[in-house]
Amino acid sequence: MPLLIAVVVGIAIYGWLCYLAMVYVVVPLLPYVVVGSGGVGVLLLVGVLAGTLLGVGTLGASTVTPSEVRERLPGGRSKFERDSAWPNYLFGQSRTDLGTAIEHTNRVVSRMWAALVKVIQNEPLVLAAWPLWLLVLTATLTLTTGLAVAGVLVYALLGLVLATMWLAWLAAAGLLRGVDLGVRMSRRAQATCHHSECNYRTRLPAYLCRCGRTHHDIRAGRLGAFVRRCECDRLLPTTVLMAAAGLVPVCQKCDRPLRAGAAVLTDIVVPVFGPSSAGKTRLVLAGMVALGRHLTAAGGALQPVGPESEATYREATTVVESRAQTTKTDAARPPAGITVRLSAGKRRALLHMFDAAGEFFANREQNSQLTFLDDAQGLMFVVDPFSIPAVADDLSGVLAPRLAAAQPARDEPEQSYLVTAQRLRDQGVTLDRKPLAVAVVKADLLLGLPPAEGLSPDSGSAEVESWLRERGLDNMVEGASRDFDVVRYFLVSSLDIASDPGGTVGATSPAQPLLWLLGRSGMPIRKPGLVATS
Amino acid sequence: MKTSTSPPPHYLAFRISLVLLLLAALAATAFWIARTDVLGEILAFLGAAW
Repeated sequence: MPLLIAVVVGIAIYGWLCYLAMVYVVVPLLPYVVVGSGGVGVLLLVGVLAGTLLGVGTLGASTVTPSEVRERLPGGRSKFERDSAWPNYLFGQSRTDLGTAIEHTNRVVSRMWAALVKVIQNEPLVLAAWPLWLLVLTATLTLTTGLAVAGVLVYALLGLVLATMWLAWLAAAGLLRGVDLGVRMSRRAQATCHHSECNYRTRLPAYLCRCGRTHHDIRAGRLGAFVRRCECDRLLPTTVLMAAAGLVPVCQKCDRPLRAGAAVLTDIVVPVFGPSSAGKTRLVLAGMVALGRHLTAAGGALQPVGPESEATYREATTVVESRAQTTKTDAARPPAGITVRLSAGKRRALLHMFDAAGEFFANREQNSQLTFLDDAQGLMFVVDPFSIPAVADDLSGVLAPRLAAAQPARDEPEQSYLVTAQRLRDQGVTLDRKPLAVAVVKADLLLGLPPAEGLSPDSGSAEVESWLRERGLDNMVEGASRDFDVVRYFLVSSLDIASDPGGTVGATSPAQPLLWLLGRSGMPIRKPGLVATS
Repeated sequence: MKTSTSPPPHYLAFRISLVLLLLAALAATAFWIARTDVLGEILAFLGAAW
């Protein structure tokens, strides 16, 4: 009985104490606990977020390195992987930073709740002071709620700001790309690989950082709007126009260096085709020398670009000035391009001339290796008049030695033309948008002979065309006018390389067909008396 | 080939900007609370509710 009374009294005292705690502690403090813990939740969120962003202690987020760029950033339309460069903060690191801050915050809240549960699990008797635990529970709950509400608002705000910066960034990058491309398109700039068996042509070459890494897409984007940082830490420009000033352009297909000025200067590809021994190489060499003199007279310049082109230009000057024989072009592999930089007035251009051995034009299998034919702005077809059967027939008897001295081409010009034109059509090359210069060479040997009747050094395109028709090449002439946008005929002598003091080139100058093709390809060289005659 | 492991300087600039934005938002909120006495109203509401 006394025990029962003691229990009843104890319960009554406990109930009375609980009542007192509720009335004098819990109820008065609860509003402040709610507001205070909610505020602590907000401050906790801000503190953890700021600590993560500033890398305080161990809160800092891991850094997104260039090696992770390929996983973090969406792949572009390029066939290459993303370049090894540091991504811009907005596109790589920002998500990692915010994600890490959320992880840290979740961890703090989880540990707080876990600690609370652990205390109760270890010492269940503490629940006897339940009015006080009500305060603790309310504080934890409102802290979590305040943190969650503030988290939604803060991350929404940061997300909005980052998204706005994203859009502004992409707009700036797009604008920069547009200006870069616009300027280059207005110049008709392309990057042509001059290396043998490649000849890949693109508007966007790769660029080599000094560390040796290749950047396949240097343009403004997620790796940088105005500059990008290579994995080696060097800053690189993000426009092709600026990259061309200090970086080595590289072919996207064969990874070999391109000519300086690739993709920023007007790019003109002129393949010279025709049968073996027709005089293509001599025409190219003499054409270069004559064009160089012509440009110098016009106040411009012609400069070979690259060691191979420099050597070829030196050889050209020697061969043309000494009137020496040219060596037979190597028929083992397709030719490398001879590149010269042309400047006339404010215009600059890279002219790539491709001189393949005549054997490549004899059949379609070999012809298919000449990929530079596909991207040419204009083509030059070389006709050796001494290989035309009607001309050869006229040079018999006492004139036979003249025919032998001319070393006529082995194949007829018509066959070479038809094979090449058919191959280009098969490849889907839009010939009907390209000009064709037909150069009837060896004029110095031809003029004065009976078969040259109707021709003179001043013969224009119509007279040369008419002469070819009369010599039985009407199929070729008809085919050329049908296949190409415009065809012009030239009578050319590789000996006629001089310009008069006024700068006018000779009527049979090997520069004439080149000047006409340059004018059709966005590099007109205008000066009274210097334009190609028609 | 040389490889750098330290993040570019612009990362820090972006991070500091975000922290400043965060502090500005916090300060603006505190200013708004102080100006509107919303805290007093909440306390009064909670006090009345209990």
